[in-house]
Parts: sequence; structure tokens; C-alpha cells
Amino acid sequence: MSTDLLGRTLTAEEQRLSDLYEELKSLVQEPNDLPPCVLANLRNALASVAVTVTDLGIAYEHLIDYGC
Amino acid sequence: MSSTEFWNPKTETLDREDLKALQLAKLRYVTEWADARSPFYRRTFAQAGFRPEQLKTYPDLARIPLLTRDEWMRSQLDAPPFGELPVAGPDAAIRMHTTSGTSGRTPLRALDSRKDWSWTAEMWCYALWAAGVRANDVGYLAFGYGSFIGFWGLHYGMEKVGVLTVPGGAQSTAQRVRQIVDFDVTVVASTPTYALRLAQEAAALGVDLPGSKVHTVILSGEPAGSIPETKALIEEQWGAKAYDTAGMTEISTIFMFEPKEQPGGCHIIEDHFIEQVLDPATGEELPYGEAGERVCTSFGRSMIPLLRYRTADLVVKVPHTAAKSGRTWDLYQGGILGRVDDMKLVRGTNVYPRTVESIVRGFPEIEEFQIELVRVDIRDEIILHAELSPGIADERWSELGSALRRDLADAHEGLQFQVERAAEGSLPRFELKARRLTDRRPARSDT
Repeated sequence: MSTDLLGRTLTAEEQRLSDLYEELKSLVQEPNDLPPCVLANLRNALASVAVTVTDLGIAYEHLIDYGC
Repeated sequence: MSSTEFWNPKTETLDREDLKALQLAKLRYVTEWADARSPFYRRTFAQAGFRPEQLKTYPDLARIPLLTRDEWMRSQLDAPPFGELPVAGPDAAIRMHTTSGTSGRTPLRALDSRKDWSWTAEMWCYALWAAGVRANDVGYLAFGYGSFIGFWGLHYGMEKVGVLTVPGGAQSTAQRVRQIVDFDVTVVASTPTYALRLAQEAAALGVDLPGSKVHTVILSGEPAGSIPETKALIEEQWGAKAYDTAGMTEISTIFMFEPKEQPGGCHIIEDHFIEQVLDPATGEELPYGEAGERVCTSFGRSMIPLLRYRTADLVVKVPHTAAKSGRTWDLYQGGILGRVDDMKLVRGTNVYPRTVESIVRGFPEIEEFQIELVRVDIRDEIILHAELSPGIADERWSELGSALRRDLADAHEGLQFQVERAAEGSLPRFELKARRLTDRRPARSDT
């Protein structure tokens, strides 16, 4: 069972957010064959989701290595 | 209180102990990040004997060396164009902004990544939401949209909230006034000084601002947003509520905002910042209620970590219970009180620009003012130049000047100010940070 930065079990909604976040990171990770339109928009999406999971204390990390 | 009153109900109402634990977890990560990636921090950490793994409890924060603006600037000058604080080169960034340059010093250059910029906008969302701004509002940003970071982050924050956002760049003051009315704007953002300037222009144009749809003015960029007399004047002239915020280019965004209840202070966004108040002389952390220098640690900007940054802002921190907003975040009572170095000594009396402004703003006939310090022979003199609204007769000025002299003396242990009427249109106007004090005295150790 996943937990937030305070060690609390994630709610079902938070778990879905966490999964989405990890999926976006996985998608934009280099090397990849994503066309520019996909990569740029996914990076923007990842930036937004990263702020969301940080706001909620689900995860906190910097993402320069992901182009974010 | 319904959760919709908070932008982020989870952390805005977090138990204080949990909040500190969250801050500590983020602090460990960001110090490791800085140590691993920033040549500047790697060096200064080593010089101070600090290692991120030493952060076991909250007081360990004091182990992190303090950072000054001069150190950042020196790094920028030694390793241009960005210095050694950034963790990566400009190819990893999507934006560059600078400090305002209003202090006359070389502007700092700052870089933001995609996530950094999204976070920048997010911090403004906390302020907008707390002020009651919602998606059905029409926002107007009355600033120049140059390289100075100014209200750039607020623009993106408004978009994020869903506000119809109108960029007010490259416009004259009169054009901005007309757009605010013509576009049915409900929320205006500007510096406190410029909010008053816009109101003066509206009056000159015969525009009824209190009769417009504007219900909220978001203030930033100057301490005056929390000076009660200035805020009251803005609220009266706009017929709207005014909310203070404060930020700085060094963090790319704001770190505090005034909630709807206007408790006389601003909540610190404590899950994204650690804000300490230190004795500027000893570096010791001060308890609640004592005035000291604001020292900021930010968790948001990945490109340039900001750890224990000495801001030179003068603040007084009070517990969250000083407000009734339901947030558990502490406040800076009275907002930013000034700069730790902006107190002037005149014939043995301390003079703070904020105190002078609070008195001047009690006289709504005064449109603009300047404070000038001069030395005549061996005696220091303080002169207040006051520019009045058009059409004020000399007889009224005589009364007003006397009242002003009396109030200024009362607030300054009897210190006599020279109060002079400035010609109409002769004093400078400001769109960004106002500079209203000029010290022309030859340098002396006691000033």
C-alpha cells in the first residue's frame, strides 16, 4: 500500500493521481521515440501533475531529468 | 467552513506537527538536490561542514549556511551569465526573469523549468482563491510584462483558476483605466502605488471606479499593501477589497497572501516554504512577535534552489491563531514591514519610510510624495515633498501642511519635518516598486 510523505496511506483518488504521475514520468523518460507534439504536451502535463502530487504531499521531487 | 474556501484543503489545514514533518521531508530532498547538482551549494555546504543527512529534526535547519544576495550576485559576476547556483544550464529551463533593478543594483537572473513555472503559478492560486477570486472573474494585470518577474506568475495563476485574464502591458495609465471599465474587469492586480495612480487617472478622466465591476485588487511588489492607511485609501478609491501578497524574483513567486478576512497580516505558504525570522545581527531565530529579518527556504524552484536566503525584509511572525481563516499557516503580521536597512536616523530619531507613508496616506488630498534627507552644516534635515490633487487651494494646503507636520512630529518623538508643497506633476510616478526616499547626506557612521 502506497503512502504519502507523512506515511499516511493514500486514498483511492490519491493512488490514481500517483499512478498517473508515475505513468507520465515513464512516458517522457529519455530515450523515447515520441514525436515533438507528444513529448512537449506530456511534459507540460507532467509539470502540472507534479505540482498536484506535491500540493497533496503524495510525492516531492524535481524533474529536470524528465525535461520538466 | 467548507473545504472550497481553501485552494488546498489538505495542507492549508494540516496539523502543525505534520506540517513541520512535511517541511523536513522536503528540506532533506532539496538539500540533497542542491548538494548533488549545484556547484555553489556543494562548495558552501562543504565549507560550512553541512551534509544533508544531518537534517534529523527541525532545529537542524540552522546547520544550513545562510545565503545572501551578494553571494548570488558575486557568483553571477564570476561565472556569467547565471553563476553557479543553478543545477543545470539554460537548456533545461523554459523561462528567464530578472529582479526589478529598482534598487540600482545589477539585476539577478533566474531560470525556471516547466515544473518550476507551473509551481510559480500555483503559489499565486493560493492567494487568488483565498481572496475569493473564482473562474467567473475577469482579471486585469496592470504592469509592463518586461523581463522583471512582476505579476507574470499571477497571470498564469489566474489562467489556472479559470479567470478570464487580460494582460495590461504596453498601455498608458489612461488606456488601462478605460480597459478595466470597458472589459468589465472584476479583479485588478498592481502595486499599491500604481493602484492609487490608476485611481487618480480615473478621477481625471471622469471614470467612476467605485461604480465599476471591480470588487478585488490584488497588491504586490511593495510593503504598502499592508499599511492600513494605504490599503484603506485604495479600497475607498476603487470601491473594492484590497489584498496584500509578497514575493520575490529569487523564488519566482509569492510566499504569503492575505486571506479574505483581512486579519492584518498574511499567511505564509508553509508547505512550500520554510520562513524563519532571524536577529540580523546575531543570526539567531527569533520567537513569535519579535521583528527580525526574513530568511526564506523554498521548495519550488528546481533550477535554482534557495536555501536560508537572507531577504533583508523586516517581518514579525505570529501564530496561525491570529487569523480566523481556518488555515494552520503562520502569518506575517502587517505583511512586510520594510527593509532591515531602511531605517534612517535623523537627529537621534528613527525614521521608517513605512511610518511616514502611513501618515501621508491619511491625507487623501496628497497624490504623491517624496522624502528627502539633507545635511545643512552639521544638522540633518528631513523634508517631505507633497504633491496635491489638482485644484487644492493654498489655504487648504496651509491647513493640511500644518496637520501633516504635527502628525509626523507626533509619530517621531517630536522630530520636525519640513513639509513642502511640490508642483503639480513634478514628483515621479511608479508602475512597479516605488522609491520615495532619497538620502543626500554625506556618509556618516550613524546614519
